Amino acid sequence: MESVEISNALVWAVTGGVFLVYVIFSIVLDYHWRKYGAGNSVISLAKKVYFIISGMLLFVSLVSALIFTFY
Amino acid sequence: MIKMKEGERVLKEVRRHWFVMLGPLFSSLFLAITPLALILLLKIFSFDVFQYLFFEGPSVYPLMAFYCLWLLLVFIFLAVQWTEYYLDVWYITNMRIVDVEQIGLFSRKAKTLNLERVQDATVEVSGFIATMLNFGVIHVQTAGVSREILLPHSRNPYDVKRLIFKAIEENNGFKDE
Repeated sequence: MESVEISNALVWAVTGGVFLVYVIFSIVLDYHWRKYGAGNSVISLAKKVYFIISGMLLFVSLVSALIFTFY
Repeated sequence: MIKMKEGERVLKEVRRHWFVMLGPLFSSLFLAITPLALILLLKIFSFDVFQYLFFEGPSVYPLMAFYCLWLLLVFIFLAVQWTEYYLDVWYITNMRIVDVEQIGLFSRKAKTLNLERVQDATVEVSGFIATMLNFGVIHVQTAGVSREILLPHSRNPYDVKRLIFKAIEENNGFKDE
């Protein structure tokens, strides 16, 4: 079995790809929540939970990728 | 939300029972722990996956980044499932029943039944879990043109049925005056 090199480029390519998916889905979800759930307290809570948790995960990923790059 | 007619008010929003969200929730949990479980399992069988990975720097950081990105994808999956679940709703108003069906993120169907045309509403609760948690299928049929709407896994289906009949009675009373 050949070894796989985990390079900076690979880490950033994966991070960028997932970030793109995140942005697309967030726009679509936000559109649905605003259009069909305006004024609904459950939807606004869900929106906050979604952006806080996803923001935290994204932040940890970015910090880890940055440390790996500049270590 | 639906566009309301003059004098119309929403009596109840009916959604599917939270039980239907357990499937996506457990799938997400399973997917979230899969990478860790896989590494652990391979280690148990003395297969060190890390000897085949060459890192340019300390291995902990890219692994942490990849795992968080994986969790992010799983979380997006769960958010999509929840949105689909939550936006699939019946609005029972004093004039009609509006069945809004959310199919995935890009398809949405809305069907309206005027209360004066409703002929019958039936409830079907089958199985131990459905009986214990009080959820079931509500069918509403109209007279004339054969139309039916149904909401599977509805919460408190008997209460919803009662509410529909009460709304019909009030609607008819209002019409007679």
